[in-house]
Amino acid sequence: MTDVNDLTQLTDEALLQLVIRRSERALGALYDRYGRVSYAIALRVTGDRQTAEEVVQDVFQQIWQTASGFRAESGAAGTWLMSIARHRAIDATRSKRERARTRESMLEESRIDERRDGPEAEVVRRSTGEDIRSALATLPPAQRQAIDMAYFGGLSRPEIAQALGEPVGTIKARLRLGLTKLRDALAHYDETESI
Amino acid sequence: MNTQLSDNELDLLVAYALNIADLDETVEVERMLRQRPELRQVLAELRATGDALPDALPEPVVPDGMRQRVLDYAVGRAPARAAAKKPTATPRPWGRLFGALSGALALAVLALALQLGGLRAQVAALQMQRNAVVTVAARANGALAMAGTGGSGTLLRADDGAYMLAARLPQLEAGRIYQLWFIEGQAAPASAGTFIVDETGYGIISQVDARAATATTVAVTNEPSGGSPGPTTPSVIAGTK
Repeated sequence: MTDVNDLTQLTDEALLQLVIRRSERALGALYDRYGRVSYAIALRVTGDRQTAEEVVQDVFQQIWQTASGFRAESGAAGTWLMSIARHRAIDATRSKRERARTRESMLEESRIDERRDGPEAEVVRRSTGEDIRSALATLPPAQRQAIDMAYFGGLSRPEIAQALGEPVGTIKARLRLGLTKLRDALAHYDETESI
Repeated sequence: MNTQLSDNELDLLVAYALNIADLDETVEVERMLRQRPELRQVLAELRATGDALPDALPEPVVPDGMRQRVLDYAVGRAPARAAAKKPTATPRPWGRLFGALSGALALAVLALALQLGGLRAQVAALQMQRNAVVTVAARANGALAMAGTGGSGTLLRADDGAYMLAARLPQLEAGRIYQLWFIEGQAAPASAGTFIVDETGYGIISQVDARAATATTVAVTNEPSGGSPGPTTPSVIAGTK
């Protein structure tokens, strides 16, 4: 039987339900699960410790204020939290309100899609950091670089192409090949794990 | 997944999954998803793959007391921003050097923005590079000087494979690019990425590659655009541990 005082046993979705009911302990439990990775994302994107901490503050303020907007049946609360962290961090770096609005809108879209396709998302989500580092190591550096600039830099393909002095078509190919190889590698790790 | 997709369709889904699609591309992807619902599965897999990337990041050193500050701010107990404490690690001479370098680079970013006005992409890229300098410098456990007839550079690397090369090299001819190589003992050189230099001759590359931590020799060559499987020209600069 689960001890109701032991929040570490609860799912992310259950914690969000408690956050909706204004449980600061539940928010703290979510921080204990995702605060460190949120900070890692923010630090990777912004490169500045103080800005990174402010991003994490914004992330958890948003969770506190908008947890009721998250659909628990999506089964992808962790993904949602880290999407907020990434978008907040990129926006903090680029400081473009228009882009922020676009991202918020896209974030809403992603939540809808994740609700439809949550199980697949969770399959990859279960991969460990070591799996992902190993999978990344199999990619050519140019593909890793393009994925890194897109994901953590929020740069568009023309922007990446301009920064690297490469044709846009080359960057498109690197992103396409890199992300699909990564997807296939992670699926392989998952299958191996289940054997 | 056996869904048949053209490269162009997959390009669009990849951009959408990474949230870097422009407005026209977003509209196109949403049209594709309406017409071919089976693509939602592909999109979900690609998006989940991207969302897994943060798990590959190295463990950060979280500032003291951050948990309480974050929670206080989140629930409205601390309306004003609390300054994060600086890391308490003992500063190293090269750490200070790169701290100064990153500051100089930030000023260079600002100057470049002022000079070039609309070239936002270059500024964003330089900002990423500055961030990389700060991030790697905070964790690096050693610096490797690189020299040669063509220029000079310094490679910072950390135990987890994070590395950053800052180099000053000659301008590239059209269709050429600089390529970084890691060499371990007598093993064949392993490509560690390509980069270009800016108008002043400075170039930076930062990635995570486990070979960075163990390479005994590091070299940069001038290669055809897109890079080469192995070096095709003599090294421009190189350094040995």
